[in-house]
Amino acid sequence: MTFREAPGQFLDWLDTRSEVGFSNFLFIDQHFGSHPVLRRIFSLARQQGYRSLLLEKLDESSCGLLLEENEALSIRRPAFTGSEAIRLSFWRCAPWQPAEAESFIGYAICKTDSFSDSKPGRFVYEAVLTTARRKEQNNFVHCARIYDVQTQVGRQSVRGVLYAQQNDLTSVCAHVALRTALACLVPDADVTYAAMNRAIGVDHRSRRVGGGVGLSPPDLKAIIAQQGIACHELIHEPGHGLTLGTEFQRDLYGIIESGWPALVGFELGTPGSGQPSARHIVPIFGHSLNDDAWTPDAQRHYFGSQRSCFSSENWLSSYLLHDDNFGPYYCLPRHFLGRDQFRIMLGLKPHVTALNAHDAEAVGLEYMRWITQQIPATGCDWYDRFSIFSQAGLLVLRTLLVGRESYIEHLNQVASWNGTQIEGERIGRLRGMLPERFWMVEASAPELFAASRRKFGEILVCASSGLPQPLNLDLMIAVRLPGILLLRDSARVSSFQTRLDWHTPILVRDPA
Amino acid sequence: MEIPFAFFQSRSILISRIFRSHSFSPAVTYATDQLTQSLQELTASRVQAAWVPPSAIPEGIPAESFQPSAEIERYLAERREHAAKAENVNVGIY
Repeated sequence: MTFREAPGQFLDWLDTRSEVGFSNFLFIDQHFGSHPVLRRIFSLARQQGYRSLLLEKLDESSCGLLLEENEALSIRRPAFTGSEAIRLSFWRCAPWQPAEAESFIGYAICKTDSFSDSKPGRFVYEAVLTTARRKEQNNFVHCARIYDVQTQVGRQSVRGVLYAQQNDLTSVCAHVALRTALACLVPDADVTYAAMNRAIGVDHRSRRVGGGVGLSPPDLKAIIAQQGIACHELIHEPGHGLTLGTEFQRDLYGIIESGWPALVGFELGTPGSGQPSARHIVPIFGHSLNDDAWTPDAQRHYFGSQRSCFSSENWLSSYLLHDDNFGPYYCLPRHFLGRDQFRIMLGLKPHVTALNAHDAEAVGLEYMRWITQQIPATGCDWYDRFSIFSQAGLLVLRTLLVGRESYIEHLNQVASWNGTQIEGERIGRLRGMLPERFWMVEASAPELFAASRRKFGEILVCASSGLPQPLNLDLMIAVRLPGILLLRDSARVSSFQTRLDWHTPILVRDPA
Repeated sequence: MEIPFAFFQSRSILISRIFRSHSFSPAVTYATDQLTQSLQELTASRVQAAWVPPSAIPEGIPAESFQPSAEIERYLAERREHAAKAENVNVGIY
């Protein structure tokens, strides 16, 4: 039984309103050893208007996961004498008031391990809180999950991304980063450290972790594979003659925008200082956008970039992540981690793709150039504008993996500003030739994308076939642009006129 | 005190030179100018009384007419090379 499901022993339900004098700092100082991550979690709860705190004690006899963790710990550290696990849950209602569904903000498990030969170790075993900022604040978390929590005052649900902190004995930063990322994708929305350690032979006797011993990239990939998840790996190891020619953020964005999480590993300290450098890895699961970003234009005009399109990633402001050292839901400004620090990205994918998002985007751009060479103008204003932006190298591209039904639903919904929709017959024709999943490269103009989240159209690129050498049209599935639909068949690309001859909304996933 | 027009003119030229000599990308300037000109031509063409839409969209385009650019081939080759090298680099502990 998990920490969420285990029946807790009631300790207290405190009124935490600031007007009654409750101080998060004082409470954590007095009861949880001034724990910094708890301060972060309590402040997130305060930010969301929490008015009460329910405290429950969990027991090994009713929480199988706690028992499993303690058994592993007693092997790893024979001086281990026992642990105390407290479930803290945060509410918008006052104590003893009926707890409505919207009252529940989330929960945290604080575990304190005692040892006969050293001070106790305290850490946040897990926490799930709702995100304080949502799409209205330009924050997008596409892979949050719903967690049910059984408390003394009833069963509650919280939608969020699971946070976890290492104990540096049976789990290290790679374990907790993997736990967060895998929890976004696996059916049970969580993975135990015992399962991870079994997958890579960590038995706490012949192979141990903690105290400076962590997991290697093959360990990380083995754990991901064991959960049936595919992985897009990107490595930058200049010290080993492997230098990435592009910014890792473009690949990272392709993963995040497709609704999946990624792990980003980096080197600590000052590279080149001669000191042996440690490494850290964090899970990234969302992003924020800035509609008024100056950088896309400035990069091209002032700093000599010869790019032939804009990636929509240019408008990204920050990536959203957990850092087990500091707590949940931090923002990592785009390009804060540069080539000096970045070493590895593992993008988790629930489906195997032969092509990654970055390459699909490059192929999509190449196909668009060819289309505008073949059909430079149609007389439709918005197609002709698309053609002009394409020929000038000023298209904005946004690439994400979509499923057939999700795309068809999108087509059934999109409309021009005068309400015109694409003909059902055209959608039916398209549906018949779509694979289960494919890359969709949306094409827009800077002002159209940033201000109104609309696009000229999209090109569908095959995700299951590798890149032909040299590149040919084999990866093209279909193209939809204002007033025209292009379908690839064996020897040619057939064109069909459509009445939808305006720009249309981009595909929006359901963000938390 | 009246500031002579020549002052502004010289400042303007100076700023322009700084941008162009140090960082302003001629290719992007050209692309932006091309975009503006093309959009103006598009708009102008629509208000001409004699304007008629282009001839019918071709029903089919032969697939073999596609020729990849040197840029995409170079880019994809670099990505392939990097991925192949990366398979043999498994360093770092996290």
